[in-house]
Amino acid sequence: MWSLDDCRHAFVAVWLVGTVALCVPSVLLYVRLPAGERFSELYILGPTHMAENYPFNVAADTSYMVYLGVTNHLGNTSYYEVQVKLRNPTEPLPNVTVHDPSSQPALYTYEVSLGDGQTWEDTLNFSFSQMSFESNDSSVGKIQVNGAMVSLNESSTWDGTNNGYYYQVFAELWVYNNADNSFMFHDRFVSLWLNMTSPV
Amino acid sequence: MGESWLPRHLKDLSMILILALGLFIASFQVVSCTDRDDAAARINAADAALKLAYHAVGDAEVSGANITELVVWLNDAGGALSGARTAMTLGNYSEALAKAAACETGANEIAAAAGELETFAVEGKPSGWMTASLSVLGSAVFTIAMFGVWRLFKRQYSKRLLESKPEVA
Repeated sequence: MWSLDDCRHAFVAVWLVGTVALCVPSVLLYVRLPAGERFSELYILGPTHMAENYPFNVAADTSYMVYLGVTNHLGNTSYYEVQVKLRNPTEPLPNVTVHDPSSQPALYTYEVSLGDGQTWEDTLNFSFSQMSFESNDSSVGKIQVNGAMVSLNESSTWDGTNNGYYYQVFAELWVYNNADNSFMFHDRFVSLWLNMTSPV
Repeated sequence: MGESWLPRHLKDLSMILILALGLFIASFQVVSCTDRDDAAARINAADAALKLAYHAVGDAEVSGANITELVVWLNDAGGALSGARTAMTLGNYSEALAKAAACETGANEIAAAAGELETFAVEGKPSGWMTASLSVLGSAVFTIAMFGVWRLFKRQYSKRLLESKPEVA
């Protein structure tokens, strides 16, 4: 059997726990708990919805598909843009160190709103047309992204080391800044190297 | 006289026909330009409306409203805007116009719904003063209750101790 002193200690413990629990809502009004790390995820998956079988050797007038996804861990609802762009190996990629997006024009833009912890995913369908190959150069005249036909003037020279005419499709993540009322590059991008092969 | 009239006026007729054709093509291009401008203006308006809707949803979220459904609607409106831009690049201005209009209407409805949700959330939310008062009152009631229970328990404990028979080793 417990002694009277043991019982007193147990009562005091229960009283303390109860009082603290009752005070928590009031304390939380004035004290902000440290939030976890705030960030956004941007990912690209292959046509089988896995990180494999990404399109690589591409031909004209053939459609290719990958998945693009964004997850919001910013702690509140956020408004994103995912801008799909194309470049050749000589044109610069986004520079996340200095928060500088690529200067290439957006070929297609997804408008995405996500609550905290939510994930968005959609397909990215693309095909190339008006491809030409002359001596050591290749060029692409048009790209169709999710049904939107865009005229291009992209060219790439033969890469002797990797044996191909390389282009890179990439997606930049932009987030809406409430203070500036504008979208800002969110220092995230994913890319896909493509080797243009024989024209049809 | 009737036979000689046609060759004499053939040149004039052909000039008139060429002029009429030119006028027709020019008017067609003007209509096309207007369609494109209308669609572009509507897309810009839809874009602005979507941003306003997002702000409204953000405000509703801060006030503690449940905005899960509004986020789904925002995505639908965003999809319509992307569709409008796609139609624009394809030169399908009527579809671009329709999709931009759908986006704008949806965004305006979202903003209105977010405003209502925010009002409900603010009205239903207990104030800081109320929360603090309830905490203090709850703690006081709990302390008094614990003290009472302790006194009862102590009395019962002492009574049981006094009534118990001593054990003989």
